[in-house]
Amino acid sequence: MDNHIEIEKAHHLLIVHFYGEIDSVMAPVYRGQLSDLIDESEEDVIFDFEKTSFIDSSGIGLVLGRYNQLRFEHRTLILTGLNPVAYRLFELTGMFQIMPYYESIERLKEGTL
Amino acid sequence: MNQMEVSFSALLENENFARTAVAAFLTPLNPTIDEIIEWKTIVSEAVSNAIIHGYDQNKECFVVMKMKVDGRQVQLIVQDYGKGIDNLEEVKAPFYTTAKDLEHAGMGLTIIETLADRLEIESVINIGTKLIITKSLKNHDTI
Repeated sequence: MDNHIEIEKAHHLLIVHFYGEIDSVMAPVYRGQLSDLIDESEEDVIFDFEKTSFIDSSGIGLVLGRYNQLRFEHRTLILTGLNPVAYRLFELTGMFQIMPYYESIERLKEGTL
Repeated sequence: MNQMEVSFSALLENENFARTAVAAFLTPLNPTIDEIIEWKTIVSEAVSNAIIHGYDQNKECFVVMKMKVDGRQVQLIVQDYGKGIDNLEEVKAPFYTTAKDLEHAGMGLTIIETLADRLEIESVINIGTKLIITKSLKNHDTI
Protein backbone atom coordinates (compact mmCIF):
# COMPACT_ATOMS: atom_id res chain seq x y z
CA MET A 1 0.00 0.00 0.00
CA ASP A 2 1.16 3.51 -0.79
CA ASN A 3 2.29 5.37 2.35
CA HIS A 4 0.46 8.65 2.77
CA ILE A 5 -1.85 10.68 5.00
CA GLU A 6 -5.30 12.09 4.27
CA ILE A 7 -6.75 15.02 6.16
CA GLU A 8 -10.44 15.39 6.93
CA LYS A 9 -12.25 18.17 8.80
CA ALA A 10 -15.42 17.07 10.56
CA HIS A 11 -17.35 17.99 13.73
CA HIS A 12 -14.81 20.70 14.60
CA LEU A 13 -12.07 18.09 14.57
CA LEU A 14 -9.07 17.59 12.35
CA ILE A 15 -8.87 13.91 11.40
CA VAL A 16 -5.59 12.52 10.05
CA HIS A 17 -5.88 9.10 8.39
CA PHE A 18 -2.56 7.25 8.06
CA TYR A 19 -2.28 4.81 5.14
CA GLY A 20 0.39 2.09 4.82
CA GLU A 21 3.48 1.99 7.01
CA ILE A 22 4.91 4.44 9.54
CA ASP A 23 8.64 3.81 10.03
CA SER A 24 11.94 5.72 10.29
CA VAL A 25 11.59 6.83 6.68
CA MET A 26 7.97 8.04 6.83
CA ALA A 27 7.90 9.48 10.38
CA PRO A 28 10.08 12.54 9.55
CA VAL A 29 8.00 13.21 6.39
CA TYR A 30 4.77 13.15 8.41
CA ARG A 31 6.37 15.21 11.19
CA GLY A 32 6.95 18.08 8.74
CA GLN A 33 3.46 17.85 7.22
CA LEU A 34 1.65 17.54 10.55
CA SER A 35 3.64 20.23 12.38
CA ASP A 36 2.59 22.73 9.71
CA LEU A 37 -0.99 21.49 9.70
CA ILE A 38 -1.24 21.86 13.49
CA ASP A 39 0.35 25.32 13.36
CA GLU A 40 -2.19 26.47 10.78
CA SER A 41 -5.29 25.13 12.56
CA GLU A 42 -7.07 25.42 15.91
CA GLU A 43 -9.07 22.19 16.17
CA ASP A 44 -8.47 19.18 18.37
CA VAL A 45 -6.86 16.37 16.38
CA ILE A 46 -7.60 12.68 15.74
CA PHE A 47 -4.88 10.35 14.47
CA ASP A 48 -6.64 7.39 12.83
CA PHE A 49 -4.58 4.23 12.26
CA GLU A 50 -7.38 2.06 10.85
CA LYS A 51 -5.58 1.83 7.48
CA THR A 52 -2.07 1.62 8.94
CA SER A 53 -0.45 -1.76 8.27
CA PHE A 54 2.70 -1.14 10.32
CA ILE A 55 3.94 1.29 12.97
CA ASP A 56 7.19 1.13 14.96
CA SER A 57 8.83 3.27 17.66
CA SER A 58 9.49 6.09 15.19
CA GLY A 59 5.70 6.29 14.81
CA ILE A 60 5.36 6.46 18.59
CA GLY A 61 7.93 9.29 18.55
CA LEU A 62 5.89 11.07 15.89
CA VAL A 63 2.69 10.81 17.94
CA LEU A 64 4.44 11.94 21.13
CA GLY A 65 5.95 14.93 19.33
CA ARG A 66 2.58 16.08 17.96
CA TYR A 67 0.97 15.49 21.37
CA ASN A 68 3.51 17.87 22.91
CA GLN A 69 2.96 20.41 20.15
CA LEU A 70 -0.84 20.33 20.67
CA ARG A 71 -0.63 20.30 24.46
CA PHE A 72 1.28 23.57 24.33
CA GLU A 73 -1.85 25.12 22.78
CA HIS A 74 -4.22 23.28 25.16
CA ARG A 75 -5.51 21.12 22.31
CA THR A 76 -6.30 17.40 22.54
CA LEU A 77 -4.90 14.50 20.52
CA ILE A 78 -7.11 11.41 20.21
CA LEU A 79 -5.95 8.08 18.74
CA THR A 80 -8.12 5.51 16.92
CA GLY A 81 -7.88 2.20 15.06
CA LEU A 82 -4.54 0.65 16.09
CA ASN A 83 -3.90 -3.00 15.16
CA PRO A 84 -3.46 -5.36 18.17
CA VAL A 85 0.36 -5.39 18.06
CA ALA A 86 0.62 -1.60 17.72
CA TYR A 87 -1.95 -1.23 20.53
CA ARG A 88 0.33 -3.26 22.84
CA LEU A 89 3.30 -1.05 22.01
CA PHE A 90 1.36 2.16 22.62
CA GLU A 91 0.11 0.70 25.91
CA LEU A 92 3.65 -0.32 26.88
CA THR A 93 4.97 3.17 26.26
CA GLY A 94 2.25 4.75 28.40
CA MET A 95 0.58 6.64 25.56
CA PHE A 96 -2.97 5.89 26.74
CA GLN A 97 -2.21 7.48 30.10
CA ILE A 98 -1.85 10.85 28.39
CA MET A 99 -4.19 10.66 25.41
CA PRO A 100 -7.62 9.09 24.78
CA TYR A 101 -8.03 6.04 22.55
CA TYR A 102 -11.06 4.69 20.69
CA GLU A 103 -11.26 1.45 18.67
CA SER A 104 -12.59 3.35 15.67
CA ILE A 105 -13.85 6.78 14.62
CA GLU A 106 -17.39 5.34 14.71
CA ARG A 107 -16.88 4.41 18.37
CA LEU A 108 -15.60 7.89 19.10
CA LYS A 109 -18.68 9.44 17.48
CA GLU A 110 -21.02 7.16 19.48
CA GLY A 111 -19.29 8.21 22.68
CA THR A 112 -19.04 11.94 22.19
CA LEU A 113 -21.56 13.20 19.65
CA MET B 1 16.53 -26.24 10.07
CA ASN B 2 16.43 -23.37 7.58
CA GLN B 3 18.63 -20.30 7.52
CA MET B 4 19.07 -17.05 5.64
CA GLU B 5 21.57 -14.24 5.71
CA VAL B 6 21.45 -10.83 4.07
CA SER B 7 23.68 -7.80 4.22
CA PHE B 8 22.61 -4.30 3.19
CA SER B 9 23.77 -0.67 3.29
CA ALA B 10 23.04 1.30 6.46
CA LEU B 11 20.20 3.23 4.85
CA LEU B 12 16.86 3.70 6.62
CA GLU B 13 15.15 2.90 3.30
CA ASN B 14 16.44 -0.68 3.73
CA GLU B 15 14.34 -1.23 6.87
CA ASN B 16 11.41 -1.97 4.59
CA PHE B 17 13.54 -4.52 2.70
CA ALA B 18 14.62 -6.14 5.99
CA ARG B 19 11.02 -6.39 7.27
CA THR B 20 9.77 -7.80 3.98
CA ALA B 21 12.62 -10.34 3.75
CA VAL B 22 11.89 -11.68 7.24
CA ALA B 23 8.14 -11.82 6.61
CA ALA B 24 8.72 -13.75 3.36
CA PHE B 25 11.17 -16.13 5.03
CA LEU B 26 8.66 -16.94 7.81
CA THR B 27 5.59 -17.26 5.55
CA PRO B 28 6.02 -21.03 4.86
CA LEU B 29 5.70 -21.61 8.64
CA ASN B 30 2.17 -20.27 8.47
CA PRO B 31 2.47 -17.58 11.17
CA THR B 32 -0.53 -15.54 12.29
CA ILE B 33 -0.92 -11.96 11.02
CA ASP B 34 -0.03 -10.68 14.49
CA GLU B 35 3.13 -12.81 14.57
CA ILE B 36 4.22 -11.35 11.24
CA ILE B 37 3.58 -7.81 12.53
CA GLU B 38 5.51 -8.63 15.72
CA TRP B 39 8.50 -9.89 13.73
CA LYS B 40 8.37 -6.90 11.40
CA THR B 41 8.37 -4.59 14.41
CA ILE B 42 11.32 -6.42 15.99
CA VAL B 43 13.29 -6.22 12.71
CA SER B 44 12.48 -2.53 12.30
CA GLU B 45 13.66 -1.63 15.81
CA ALA B 46 16.83 -3.74 15.60
CA VAL B 47 17.82 -2.53 12.12
CA SER B 48 17.14 1.15 12.84
CA ASN B 49 19.27 0.88 16.01
CA ALA B 50 22.14 -0.54 13.93
CA ILE B 51 21.80 2.15 11.25
CA ILE B 52 21.19 5.18 13.48
CA HIS B 53 23.19 4.36 16.61
CA GLY B 54 25.75 1.82 15.36
CA TYR B 55 26.68 3.61 12.17
CA ASP B 56 25.35 7.21 12.53
CA GLN B 57 23.63 6.52 9.19
CA ASN B 58 26.92 6.13 7.33
CA LYS B 59 25.69 4.48 4.14
CA GLU B 60 29.13 3.08 3.31
CA CYS B 61 28.59 0.58 6.16
CA PHE B 62 26.67 -2.69 6.13
CA VAL B 63 24.12 -4.25 8.44
CA VAL B 64 24.09 -8.05 8.57
CA MET B 65 20.85 -9.85 9.31
CA LYS B 66 20.60 -13.61 9.82
CA MET B 67 17.56 -15.70 10.57
CA LYS B 68 17.45 -19.34 11.64
CA VAL B 69 14.36 -21.49 12.00
CA ASP B 70 14.38 -24.80 13.85
CA GLY B 71 10.90 -26.28 14.21
CA ARG B 72 8.78 -23.38 15.53
CA GLN B 73 11.81 -21.73 17.15
CA VAL B 74 13.01 -18.60 15.33
CA GLN B 75 16.28 -16.79 15.97
CA LEU B 76 17.17 -13.41 14.47
CA ILE B 77 20.63 -11.86 14.58
CA VAL B 78 21.13 -8.22 13.62
CA GLN B 79 24.74 -7.19 13.59
CA ASP B 80 26.63 -3.97 12.92
CA TYR B 81 30.36 -3.21 12.95
CA GLY B 82 29.84 0.30 14.27
CA LYS B 83 30.69 2.21 17.41
CA GLY B 84 29.30 -0.21 20.00
CA ILE B 85 27.38 0.48 23.21
CA ASP B 86 29.06 1.97 26.26
CA ASN B 87 26.64 0.90 28.97
CA LEU B 88 24.32 -1.98 28.13
CA GLU B 89 22.09 -1.58 31.20
CA GLU B 90 21.55 2.10 30.45
CA VAL B 91 20.44 1.59 26.84
CA LYS B 92 17.92 -1.06 27.87
CA ALA B 93 16.08 1.36 30.15
CA PRO B 94 12.77 2.59 28.70
CA PHE B 95 12.86 6.08 27.13
CA TYR B 96 16.68 6.09 27.03
CA THR B 97 17.80 7.82 23.85
CA THR B 98 20.89 9.57 22.55
CA ALA B 99 18.89 11.26 19.79
CA LYS B 100 16.16 13.24 21.58
CA ASP B 101 16.10 16.00 18.96
CA LEU B 102 15.06 13.53 16.27
CA GLU B 103 11.91 12.59 18.22
CA HIS B 104 13.08 9.06 18.86
CA ALA B 105 11.00 7.60 21.64
CA GLY B 106 13.92 5.63 23.08
CA MET B 107 11.75 2.54 23.20
CA GLY B 108 13.37 0.30 20.56
CA LEU B 109 15.00 -2.26 22.85
CA THR B 110 12.08 -2.23 25.30
CA ILE B 111 9.76 -3.02 22.39
CA ILE B 112 11.99 -5.90 21.23
CA GLU B 113 12.15 -7.29 24.78
CA THR B 114 8.36 -7.11 25.04
CA LEU B 115 7.62 -8.80 21.72
CA ALA B 116 10.39 -11.43 21.78
CA ASP B 117 10.90 -14.39 24.09
CA ARG B 118 14.52 -13.44 24.65
CA LEU B 119 16.93 -10.63 23.74
CA GLU B 120 20.69 -10.89 24.14
CA ILE B 121 23.03 -8.01 23.35
CA GLU B 122 26.74 -8.39 22.69
CA SER B 123 28.60 -5.16 22.18
CA VAL B 124 32.20 -3.99 22.13
CA ILE B 125 33.19 -0.34 21.75
CA ASN B 126 34.39 0.39 18.21
CA ILE B 127 33.92 -3.25 17.20
CA GLY B 128 30.16 -3.37 16.91
CA THR B 129 26.89 -4.63 18.32
CA LYS B 130 25.03 -7.88 17.88
CA LEU B 131 21.41 -8.42 18.86
CA ILE B 132 20.29 -12.05 19.24
CA ILE B 133 16.55 -12.33 19.38
CA THR B 134 14.61 -15.56 19.87
CA LYS B 135 10.89 -16.09 19.66
CA SER B 136 8.75 -19.18 19.07
CA LEU B 137 5.92 -19.24 16.58
CA LYS B 138 2.68 -20.57 18.00
CA ASN B 139 1.56 -24.05 17.07
CA HIS B 140 -1.76 -23.98 15.32
CA ASP B 141 -3.69 -26.09 12.85
CA THR B 142 -2.43 -25.59 9.34
CA ILE B 143 -5.57 -26.93 7.69
